[in-house]
Amino acid sequence: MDDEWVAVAQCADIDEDDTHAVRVDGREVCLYNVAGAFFATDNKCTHGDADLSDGLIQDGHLIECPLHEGTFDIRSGRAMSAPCTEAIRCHDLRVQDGVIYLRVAS
Amino acid sequence: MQPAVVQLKQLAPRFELTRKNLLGARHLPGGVYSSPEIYAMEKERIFMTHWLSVGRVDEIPNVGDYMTFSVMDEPILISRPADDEISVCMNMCLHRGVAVANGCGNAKDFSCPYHAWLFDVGGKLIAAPGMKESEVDLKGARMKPLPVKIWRGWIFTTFSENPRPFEDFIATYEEKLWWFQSGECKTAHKVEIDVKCNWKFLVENLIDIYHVGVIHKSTFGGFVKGEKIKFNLEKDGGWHTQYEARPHSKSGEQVFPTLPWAKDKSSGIACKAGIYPNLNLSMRADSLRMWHVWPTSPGTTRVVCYLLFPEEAFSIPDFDEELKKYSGFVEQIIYEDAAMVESLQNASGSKFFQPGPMAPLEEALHHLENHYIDVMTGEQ
Repeated sequence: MDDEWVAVAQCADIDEDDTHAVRVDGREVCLYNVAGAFFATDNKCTHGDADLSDGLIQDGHLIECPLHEGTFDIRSGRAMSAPCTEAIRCHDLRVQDGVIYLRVAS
Repeated sequence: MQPAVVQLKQLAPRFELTRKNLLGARHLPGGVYSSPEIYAMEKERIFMTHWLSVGRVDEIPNVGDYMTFSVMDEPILISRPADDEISVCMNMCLHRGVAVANGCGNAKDFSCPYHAWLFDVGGKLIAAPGMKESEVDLKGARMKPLPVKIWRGWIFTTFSENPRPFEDFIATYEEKLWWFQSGECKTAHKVEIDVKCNWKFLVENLIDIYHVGVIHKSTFGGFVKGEKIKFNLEKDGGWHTQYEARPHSKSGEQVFPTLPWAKDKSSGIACKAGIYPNLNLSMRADSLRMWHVWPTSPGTTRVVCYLLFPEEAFSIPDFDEELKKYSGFVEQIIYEDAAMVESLQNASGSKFFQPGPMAPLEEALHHLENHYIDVMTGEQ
């Protein structure tokens, strides 16, 4: 349903290869701009107490947690390197007229 | 103050008085209980060389369980990285030395609170954030592991680089202590009390039968016939004994079921042993206790007493209430002793203090005090 989609940011808010934290329904979400394509995952690392939005995007599509440098694939949420082992939750994202809409997985 | 070796040399004539046979001997001079320099030397000569019990396997039953502890300011991490593995290592980050684990609990890994270096449960370095460009090879790095030996449910470790073989250290007790089946027991409670005295006063106090009928008259003193106790003295300051006494309860009545290995013995059986430097093992017909005496400074000590029972004791009616009474009884004994040893500590620093003659009942103290002189003044 259309009303599940929530506008959370403007595309212009996020530079290429950068991250942006937003809050939707009380949930911290991290938005990514990967070479002009936008993705969204939970912001809290599944390993330590850290925000992925403070991390760096590596090798095009990996987000590196700033605390212990474990990585996740931004596109699938898969944990890619130690100490991260548990996938990060991904959220549906849609861009319309320069606005980013999210449908947050419960 | 003079360095410890000089102080010990000055005390040599006083040590000769402790060296005399029991009936002519005097207790150790006050200096060994009050000098910070001698305390520092004890750390190196005694606590950094001996095998030490630092806890029980049943305190960390599950994979990932851990506890932290300090032996004379040396922080250690005791953990269970795998079902069949117990690990002890220095609790010091490989970066700046901050303790990576605190308290006790269950963890998947330990993240140093200072710069987030990450270690697995056994102390191996998993990640060193922000160090990719460092030229130092951290592959395979781990916090310094210490040797681990399990004996009857106790986790023993040592800080020594060249420890005496554990089997050799424990042989006497393995052979003689039929009554201390602590591997068949579970920890019911741990009593921990800080006492303002030197650690040796408490170790000695736990052997001292002479005082029992006096200060413990209202707890258990009335049930012990001190004059009938004969000590078996073992090498390296060890000792053990068996005598008649009532169980540890206010009335002297037995509360918990008789220990399986004491069923064919007298209901008034009591056994005690000491393992140098800081362990005191004790049995009554229905219970086991192990006392750990940990120095925390020259004039302060932490007593950690484990109250142990076999499985069946835990299912008696009103177990929790009975355990509370029993543990209160043990605490009461420690408080009764604490008042004495704290006064003793005060005297030990006085220039007027002259150690008095030993009583015939102080045979095991004589043995222990002489072993102390051996350890502190002998060849290393």
